[in-house]
This record gives sequence, C-alpha cells and structure tokens, in this order.
Amino acid sequence: MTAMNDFSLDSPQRQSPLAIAFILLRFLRQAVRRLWPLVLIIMFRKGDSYLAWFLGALLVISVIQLVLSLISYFNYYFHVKGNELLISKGVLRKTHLNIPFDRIQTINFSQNLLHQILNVVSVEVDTAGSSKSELSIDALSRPHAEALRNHILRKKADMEADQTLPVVSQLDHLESIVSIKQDRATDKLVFSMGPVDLMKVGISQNHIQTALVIVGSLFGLVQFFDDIREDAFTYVAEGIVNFQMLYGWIAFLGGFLILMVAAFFVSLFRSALRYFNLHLWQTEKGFKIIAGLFNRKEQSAAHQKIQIIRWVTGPLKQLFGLFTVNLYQASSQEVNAKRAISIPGCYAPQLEEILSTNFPPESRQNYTEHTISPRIISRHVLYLGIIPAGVATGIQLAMGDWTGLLFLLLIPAVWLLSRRYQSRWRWWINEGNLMTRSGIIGTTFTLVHQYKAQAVKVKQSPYQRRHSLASVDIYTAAGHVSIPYISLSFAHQLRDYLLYKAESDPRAWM
Amino acid sequence: MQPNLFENTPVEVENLPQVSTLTGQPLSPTYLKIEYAGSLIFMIFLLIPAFILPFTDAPSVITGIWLGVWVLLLLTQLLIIPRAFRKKSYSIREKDITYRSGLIWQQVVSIPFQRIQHCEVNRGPLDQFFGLASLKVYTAGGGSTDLEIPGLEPERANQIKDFILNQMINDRDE
Repeated sequence: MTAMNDFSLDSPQRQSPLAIAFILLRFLRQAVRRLWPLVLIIMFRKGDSYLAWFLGALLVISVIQLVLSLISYFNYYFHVKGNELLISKGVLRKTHLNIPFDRIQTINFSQNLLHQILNVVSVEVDTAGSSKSELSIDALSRPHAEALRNHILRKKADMEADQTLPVVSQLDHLESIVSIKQDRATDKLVFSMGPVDLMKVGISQNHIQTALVIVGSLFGLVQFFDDIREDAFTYVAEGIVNFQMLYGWIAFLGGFLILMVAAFFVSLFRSALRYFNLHLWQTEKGFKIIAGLFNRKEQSAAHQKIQIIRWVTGPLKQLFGLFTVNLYQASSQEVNAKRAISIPGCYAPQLEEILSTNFPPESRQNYTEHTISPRIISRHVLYLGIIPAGVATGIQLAMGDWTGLLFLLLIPAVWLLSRRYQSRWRWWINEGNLMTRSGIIGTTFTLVHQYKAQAVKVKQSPYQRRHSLASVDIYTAAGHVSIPYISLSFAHQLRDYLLYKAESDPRAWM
Repeated sequence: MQPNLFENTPVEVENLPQVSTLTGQPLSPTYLKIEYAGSLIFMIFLLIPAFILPFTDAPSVITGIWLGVWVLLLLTQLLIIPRAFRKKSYSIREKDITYRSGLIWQQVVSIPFQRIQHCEVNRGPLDQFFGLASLKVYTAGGGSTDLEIPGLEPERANQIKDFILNQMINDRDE
C-alpha cells in the first residue's frame, strides 16, 4: 500500500516528462519515413526545384505536427476519480474521456530500447467495445505505472465483488486484494526459455511463411525502385531478367534455395529478438509473459478474459516436442493471430499446465469425437482445383502455349491435400468444452468453453443445402472457431446446446 | 444410422429449445421499398460515367458496354432484391435473438442477450423517409458478430431494444 501513496492518482497529472523524448523520436521516424524517398529523388535528379519546394512544404507540415504533439503532451492529463479513469487531452479541440473501470479489459506495459534506457514503461489500457476510448500513455515510471494498474485492478475487483453475490467469489476477491498488496510474491514461474530452447523455437518456425514475407517485401522494393526509374537499376534489372531467361529453371531453383536459407535465418533472428529470455508467470488472476531482446514486452492475460486457447505444432516442432500456445483474450480490437498472446517453446508438461488453469484435467474427459463430411473434398477440388486450373490452362492454350496443360496438375494436388485436410479434421464435444483439430502439414488444436460463446452462426451454401450439410461459426469475445461441413442436424443441435450453455451458465464470460 | 452429438448425453439435446423450429418474423414490407430506393440511388451513380464518356476521346463502344453492363446489373438487382427480402427474418426468444438472411449463401446468427454489450435503434435518411428503423446489437471483441436487423417499425425496434435491455438486467440480477 505504501507504493500507492507515493503517487496521488486522484489529481490530474501528466505523463513522465521523458515522454517528450518519445514524441521527438516518433517525429524523427515519421519525418525520415515521409521524406527519404523525396530526398533520394532529389539527389539523383539535380536541379528539380519544384521537388525541393515540395520537400520544404513537407518539412513545414512535419514541424507543425511536432509542435502540435509537444503541446498535446502538455495538455494530456489523466487521473482516477471514483471508479473511472479520466483523461483530458487535445490542442484545439479539448476532449474529456471517462473510462469506467469495469469496461477496462487489460492493462499492458511494454518497453522498447529507449524505454529500457530511460527506465520507463508505456501503458496501454484496452477497453471492450468502441476503440476510440483506447488509451495509451507513452512514458511513465514503472512504480507509477504499477500503482496505477494496481489501483484500477483493485477497484475493478471491488466493483465485481459488489455485483456478484456468491460468497466464494467474495473470498477469492479478498485473496486477490491481498495478493496485489504482496505484489509479485505469489507469482509462480511456469517456465523461462533458455538459449537452447530459443534456438529450437527459431529453427522450428514456419519458414515458408517467412519466405513469403521476404518475397512480398522484395516485390515492394522492386516496385519502389521502379517508381524512381533509376537508369542504373533498370540496367541491372534487365541483366537479371536476361540471366533468368538464359538459365531458366536453374536460376529459379537457385533463387528458391537462397530464399529458403534466407528465410531460415530471418525467422531464427526474428524469434531470437522477440522471444529472448521469455518468462511466463502464473499470477493470481492469470498469466504474465515478458520477452524480447531490444523491445521487452510485458503482456498479461486474465483467466476470465481468455476466450480461446490454441496450440500449434508442425513437423519440426514435433521433432523437438514443442508447441506454440496462443491465448486469445477479450479486447476491443478484432483479435487475430498477431494480437494473441503467443507462448512458443512449450513442452507437453507446460502445455498441460497452461491448459489446466482454464480447463482442469477432469473437465477434459468424456469427449465425443466427430469428423467433417468428405463432401468438402469435392468442393475444394472444384473451387481451388478445377476452376482455377481450367481458367489458367484455357488462357495459356488460347495463347498457343501447350505447357499450360501443366496447370491441370493442380487438380490432383488439391485433391490429395484436401483429402488429408478432411481426414485429419476432428472436433470433440463434452459437457462443457468444444475442441477442434485441423491442419495439413502442421496441426492446430483449438479449445473453447461452450458458455463463452457469444454468437452462433449456421451457414449453408446451395451445395450444402442439397446435401443437408452446414458450417458452424462459434464467436467469442476474442475471435471465432469454425467447424466446416457437418450434418445439418448436428449443426442445429450444436447451436441449441451452445445457446443453452451460454444462457444458463451464471459465470462471467469476460 | 445417424450417430449422436454426445455419447454420454449431459442433457437431452433433442429436448432443448430448438432455433430451427422457430417461425421467423418477416421484416416490414416497407423495407422492400427502401431496398429498391437504395439500389436506385446506387444505379443512378453508376450511370454518371455514361454521360461523361461521350465527351471524352473514349470510343463509343465503351459507353455501349458500360450501358449494357448497367442494364444487366439492374435486371439482377430487380431479380434478387425481392427474393433476398423474403429470406430475411428474425425471431426473439426469452434469452436470445436470431436473424436469418441470405438468398444463395444462407446464414442464421443467434446471439444470447447475456452476451450483448449494448444495442441501439438507428434511423438512416432512407429509414426516416419511409418511416422505418433498424436495430443494431453489439457484442464484445470487434465488429465480427455485431448484428443489424433492418426494416423494423420504429415502435417495434424500440420495443425489442427495451426487451433486450430488460432481459440483460434480469439476467445479471439472477
């Protein structure tokens, strides 16, 4: 409690003055990003005076922006009043935001390199629903930020305790207050990643995905150089094109090999940066994960907020016995893979430990196993095989190129992949959970509490209608789970059962 | 024989209230007019290039193609709108709301009241002109499951909204 008295949270206050450093940094980055293509052009093409004027205008705009954001720093106040977080901000148009504590979903801290040097954290307050009340504070000293977070969480717990009547939860809540007082004493380390495991995580990344990202950014670069129309570059590019014409497939295969090697090292490097010295704690209310080399990021997930748990393994990961566990928690934004809390490098016992906190082992029994209809294969073959291959072959043949017939190989390939997809798809249901498994090369498991469903969608295409099939989407406050091509009667039963669970379970779902 | 959803049935799934047996409430017939009016406005906008093209260097064939596509689009709209309208319906139960839509790809969305964050009655310009309203239901986690039921009489929309808010409060108190 002493820590809380050091910071008078109930009077309007600014962020740490160090936030100005971040405003300057952001200005510099923005200015560089905005101006460097122009500077390049001007350097290559001398004497283009109107471009220089344009550059000057951009500079003026940037400086005005800088001044505005500096003023906005001095006009940005936040404080706590009653059960609300109040923020006033704005330069020309003043805005006052009230964020009631019960709307706050999570409070995350993150530190990039500069934060670490200056010993401050940036605070992100995430609310459910409208995204405009999203709040972020650039720089706050860590004790100050923690005081703010603890205060809000404590008040929030008080409010929840007032609402929920059961005595048990009152007790829980008292304990949680005590635990906040003791701060991190009760945090239990689930695991920390050593250098060897970090290596394994890097090696077992999805390198094909990285390769696609590299190809994408290369195309972006080519596009960019194309825009400059630099003679020298065109010359080199033509040389490359000629070279490729000459050596055709050899060049292609060589390029592919180089690309895959590059992708391997890039993903190794990226995971080393992102997951360096990863620590996962189990706190009183959820999980806390800290990781990263330059950009140390602290994320937390409250048990109650976690909607979906997904764990992924692939051929390389399987070799090491590794899983990547993704926790999806309720937040204001559309939750996708990027926003999920990702915990790579879990071995089976850690996976079990993470699962057990939300889904006790006894709740993961008595599953009834189901498959999806094989009719999905013929649809895949039609939409992903026959139609695209037919169009591509048709175009090539029309241009008199017989090699276009090679596109027809797509059809058996799609058939094989789709057959594997269908035969590996499983879903399991028991009294309280729904679990799915899917994947052609890797395997993704998804586990969700039925009572957390907040919408159920049953979809039918004309083909599905003819065969009494349907696809079901189960939406939660953090993304959805889809089950494709099951019998219509199952879809209806599943919907009725999920609605029944969501409507009859008294537990808070987020 | 059709296998069961559960091998160890926790509850009699067949005896649960079934969404599929509900009769859907159709939208107000006036909503069909709004759909036509909306499509008319859209089609008029699409007609603008046909007036501009003759004054440019573009060969007149292009204007012809544009008009041809326009007529084709108009015919499909006339064909689809009344049929799609008939597929839209909603049902309200004690604890959830269901909305059906889709002519070719049909979908049925059900949302329990307890999972609704808030709901509002909206009246756009066309709604105001034709004296209708739409009900929008928001859930947590971004827009993917926000549900909008258009073509309701304003009194009906407000009635449903009040009912939902009421049920939400009742559920919390239970």
